[in-house]
Amino acid sequence: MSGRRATFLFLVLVLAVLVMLTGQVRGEDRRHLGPLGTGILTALAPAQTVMARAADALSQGWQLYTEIGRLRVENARLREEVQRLTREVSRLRESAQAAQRLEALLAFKEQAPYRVLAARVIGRDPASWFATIVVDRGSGDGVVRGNPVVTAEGAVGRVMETTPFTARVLLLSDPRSAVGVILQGSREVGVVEGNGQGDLLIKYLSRASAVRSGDVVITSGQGGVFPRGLVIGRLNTIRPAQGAAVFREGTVRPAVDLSRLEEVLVLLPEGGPRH
Amino acid sequence: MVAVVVGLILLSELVHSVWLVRFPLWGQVADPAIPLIVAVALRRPGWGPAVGLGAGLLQDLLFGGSVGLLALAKLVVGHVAGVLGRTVLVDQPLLPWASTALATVLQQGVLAAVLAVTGLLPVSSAAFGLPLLGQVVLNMLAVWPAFAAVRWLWRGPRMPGSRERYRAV
Repeated sequence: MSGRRATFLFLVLVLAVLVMLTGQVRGEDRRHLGPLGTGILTALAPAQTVMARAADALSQGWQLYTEIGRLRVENARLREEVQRLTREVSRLRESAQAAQRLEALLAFKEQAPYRVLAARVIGRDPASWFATIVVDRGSGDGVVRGNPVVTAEGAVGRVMETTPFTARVLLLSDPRSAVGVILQGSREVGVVEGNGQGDLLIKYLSRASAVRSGDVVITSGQGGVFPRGLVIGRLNTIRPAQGAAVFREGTVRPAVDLSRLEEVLVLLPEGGPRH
Repeated sequence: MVAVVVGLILLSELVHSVWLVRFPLWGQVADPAIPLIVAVALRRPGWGPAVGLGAGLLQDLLFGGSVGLLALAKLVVGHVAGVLGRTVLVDQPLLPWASTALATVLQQGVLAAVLAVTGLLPVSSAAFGLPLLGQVVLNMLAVWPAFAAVRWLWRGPRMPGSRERYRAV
């Protein structure tokens, strides 16, 4: 096509479009499709619909993808929040339990006719055959070897060694421990020894006595370590002693859970420093 | 070949009216018809006005304006691109981008002139500022697919235009 002919054709087309445009401008809506335009739009509508649906599907997929990412971040944040709140609840529960224990100790301290020193358990014996704990009070606080150690529920043990800042307590459950006791109901006298396990051993009970399971076992005050009347536990089982015809022996369930001690009271002799 | 070009224009306008309008950048939407008209007109200068007119009419139908407005603007673009195709070496690497940018500006100018003359819409000089720049950038993003499609369509060696003697770029 030559340039002149192309220019002529162009001008004809321009003229035609201008005529069409003029007709449009005069119309009410300034737009008139006519049957041809309507037909073309009708023919294109299905393709437009399909493409729009495809775009919608892609858009929804993208939104879902970004939503998943957002939810992942939100989930991580919420998990962190749950962990923080769990730690907080645990800490508060711990504080509440500690407060309850300390209240009980305080009540005991006010009732007991001894000078008492509150101590926190800071160490335990890792060996299973010995039963000792370490408390955060030592000779600097007036603690000396032999001081009884108790809780509000009953006797725990006695101090076996001290440093200026700590003391090691021999628990009732240690095999090296022996405490003179009286059965509160029958007034029968015996000796409670540790065996390294949960229950304590009670020995040298008279065969003729009428001891019963469940009888409360308290310290007798003999031996010079524990004052009289501290609760040791309850008589659990009773049987004839092996190889000794005149005695019986049995087990005592300690009044204090010796494996879960956290705060204790050290009973001090009168005349020492007051706390 | 005519059917393929018509199909290309239809496809580009469907993509334009359904998909690209969903992703406006700087308030503008890419118009793939402009690089397509330019690409066809540079390769086949005689086809420029017809392709421009067809694409413009299709846009007028698919969009809500007066029928003939975009048709006139794109008719002018197709004709000028055809003139360019007859007078310059069209295989120069920057020509597609430069001619598409010029075509976009030309279309905007024609539209503004027609709107001003007919009083269809108030015309502001702001339409030639950043919006036009954004439109140019967006249209240039469509240069590569449009020219690649036309190159694929006319894979044979190109005959030089009858008056082709200038190097535009």
